[in-house]
Amino acid sequence: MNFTFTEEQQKFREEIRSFCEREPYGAIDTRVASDFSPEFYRKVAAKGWIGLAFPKEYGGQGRGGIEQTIFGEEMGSHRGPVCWGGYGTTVVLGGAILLKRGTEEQKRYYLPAITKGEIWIGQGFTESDAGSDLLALKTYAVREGNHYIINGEKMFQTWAPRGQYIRQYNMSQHVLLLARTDQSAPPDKSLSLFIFDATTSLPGMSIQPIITPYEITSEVFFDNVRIPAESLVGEENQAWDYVVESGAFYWDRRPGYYIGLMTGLLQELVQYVKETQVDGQPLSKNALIRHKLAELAIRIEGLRLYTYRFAWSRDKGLDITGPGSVMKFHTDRLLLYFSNSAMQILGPYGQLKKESKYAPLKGTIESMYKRLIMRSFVSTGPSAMRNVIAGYVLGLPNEFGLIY
Amino acid sequence: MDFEFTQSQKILRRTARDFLERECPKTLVREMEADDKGYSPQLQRKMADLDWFGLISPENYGGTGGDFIDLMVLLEEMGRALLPSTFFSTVVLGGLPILEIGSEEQKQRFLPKIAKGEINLTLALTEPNSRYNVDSIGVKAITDKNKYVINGIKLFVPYAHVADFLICVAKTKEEASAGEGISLLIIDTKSPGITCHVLETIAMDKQCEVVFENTRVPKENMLGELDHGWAYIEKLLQKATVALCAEMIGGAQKVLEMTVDYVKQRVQFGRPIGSFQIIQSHCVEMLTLLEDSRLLTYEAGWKLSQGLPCAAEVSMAKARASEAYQIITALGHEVHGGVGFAVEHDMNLYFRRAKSAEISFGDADFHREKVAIELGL
Repeated sequence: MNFTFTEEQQKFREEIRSFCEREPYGAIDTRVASDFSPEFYRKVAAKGWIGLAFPKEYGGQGRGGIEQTIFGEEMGSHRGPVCWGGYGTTVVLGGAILLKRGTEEQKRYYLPAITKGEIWIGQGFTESDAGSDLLALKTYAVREGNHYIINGEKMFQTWAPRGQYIRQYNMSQHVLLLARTDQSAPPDKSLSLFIFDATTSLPGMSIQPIITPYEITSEVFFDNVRIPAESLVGEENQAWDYVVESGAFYWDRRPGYYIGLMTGLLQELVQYVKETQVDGQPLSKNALIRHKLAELAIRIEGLRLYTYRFAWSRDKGLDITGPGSVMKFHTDRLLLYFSNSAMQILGPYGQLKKESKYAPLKGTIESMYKRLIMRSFVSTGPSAMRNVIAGYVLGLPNEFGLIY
Repeated sequence: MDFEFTQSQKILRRTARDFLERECPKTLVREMEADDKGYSPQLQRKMADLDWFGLISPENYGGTGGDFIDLMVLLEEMGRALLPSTFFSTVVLGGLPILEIGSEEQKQRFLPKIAKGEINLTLALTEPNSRYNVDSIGVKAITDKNKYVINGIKLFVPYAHVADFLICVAKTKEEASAGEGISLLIIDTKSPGITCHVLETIAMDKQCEVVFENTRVPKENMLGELDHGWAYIEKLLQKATVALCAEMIGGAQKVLEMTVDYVKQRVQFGRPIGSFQIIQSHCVEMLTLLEDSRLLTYEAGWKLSQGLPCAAEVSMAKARASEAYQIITALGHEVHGGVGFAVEHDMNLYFRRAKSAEISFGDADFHREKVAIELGL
């Protein structure tokens, strides 16, 4: 047992920390994401950190999951604007699947480009009638000569509206699309994965924006969209296994990020309650407030341990289903618990947006509160995750023949 | 980072589990609730033969030189088995202080006997106000020539009724503070002026009232430095707290396993109740509370084993484990339904002990306040 980091890992953490403290973040392009600064993203990519966990032969740094988590933790506590949504699908999901199942050509093309910050990958899985029950998806791809023809609809496609904006930064937006390639085989033996450039809408593709209080996502329609046959990842009809083995459903796509984010905010809240006078004494003297903050610290520490245990398990090649699903579940619930507790601590001031001169913590908690409720149920939320844990960790019977 | 136990720790766990499954069936646990002593001397002799009582003592005192992680592994298994034993009070509450601050003469005198399982010790710390802070200490030790004269009441002292020696935390100055005025004294329980009563508790776990009336203790029985005992008590409490957390996660693990087994077998509405999502949800809740407590406990225990500062981690572990064990056993009961409340069912044994453990060495509120202080509040 050992709960410390190696000297090299400590140095790596220090390097990221001082980078975040030194480098200006630059302007945020909110059209892409509320946490995306192209300038900052490029600088992080130039350090090699976007692809830090990819093997060196594909342009990465060959570091492990622990280092990836350290990166997320430090970036999170400094709120480094690298567009975490994009990072998760590009690096943690897309990168990992390509590394394991991509053709040599795909690996040589994508992994160095991701590392350099030139290519983004979006996740094209969900459909209107295939959410938690992803195997019910209907989008269909059929081979025709050197192409596949795609027909169908994909829901909550956050990547799609971004292409037009990131193009101006010489970045391209690709999508990892999950589609059916066999209409007669069982659902889990009939899916294939495709990866292709969708920076500019392909002929036959149309995007219908969906506005949420936090970000813009979209519904994407495919009407006889032609993509090159080389877009196929791995073999036809085997993609369900690739998705399952990637742990896409139960691991956190932003390893370490939320630990850092919440640890940083907790410190700010501690400072806030010390400086805020209520009924003639600092709020920090109030036992209820003290205990709320202490409980947050306890749960964040729990998340930290879950996260590093997961990274350690993955680096060692151990089964990650248990550590991954429990970690994801804990993360999702803590995001809600944290933002709600923080709101309660701030009282009426919690509702103020950053534009208000009265807003404490620069309005961060108000925006977190909106954002985190959504984050908490994206890609297998707590309810579906209970099914996963019950089935896969506790071995309880699953009458839906579920799932991942 | 390394979340794994060593090979020898895995062997220790396996040995302990096999031994306790064989030697400590729940019939014995129930029997000991009603027993005057509250533990089985025959079983403890066998435990001593396995070198458990000397687990954390160095070899030159008859021990095997294990560390705090080894101790956690063993306590987890004891908690799983609900072992009724003086092991915790003797080895953790009595043995550790002698090992860590005792004089060479005291170590020679006590540690080999502890390792052989020949004597029982315990710590007389809490008093009728039932707090774990220095202000709560009212028992006084006043100098009279080459003796101390002790007066006052200690409460919730585990296994005092069978202890050969008590380590008593007493005021040796009129005004005591954390820095000064508290001393530790090793008291032979055969000394005149000591009366002891076993309290009737929810877990029937032999906590006692100990009354000192002009009890005279030789000066050489001072453990550690005169007037500077409290600083060590705070260290000892950290270890005792995490040791208790280890027992708690062992018990909670067993409750989860019992419950999951039960819901796979119990059929209602023509199918195992474990196929119902609400039942699954309860089981998942139990698992995640357990995992939280486990990771926090291991981290605190590892830091203790390395001698690193860990006041926050210790309190985080106990705050979480206190609530977790209680909720886990309550959910286990809910899922088991009526059958779990039958006295011959094991569920209620765990449920009652979870409450006892929750409030020992500070409950969740007590430890949240400590975490708050560590946060700088």
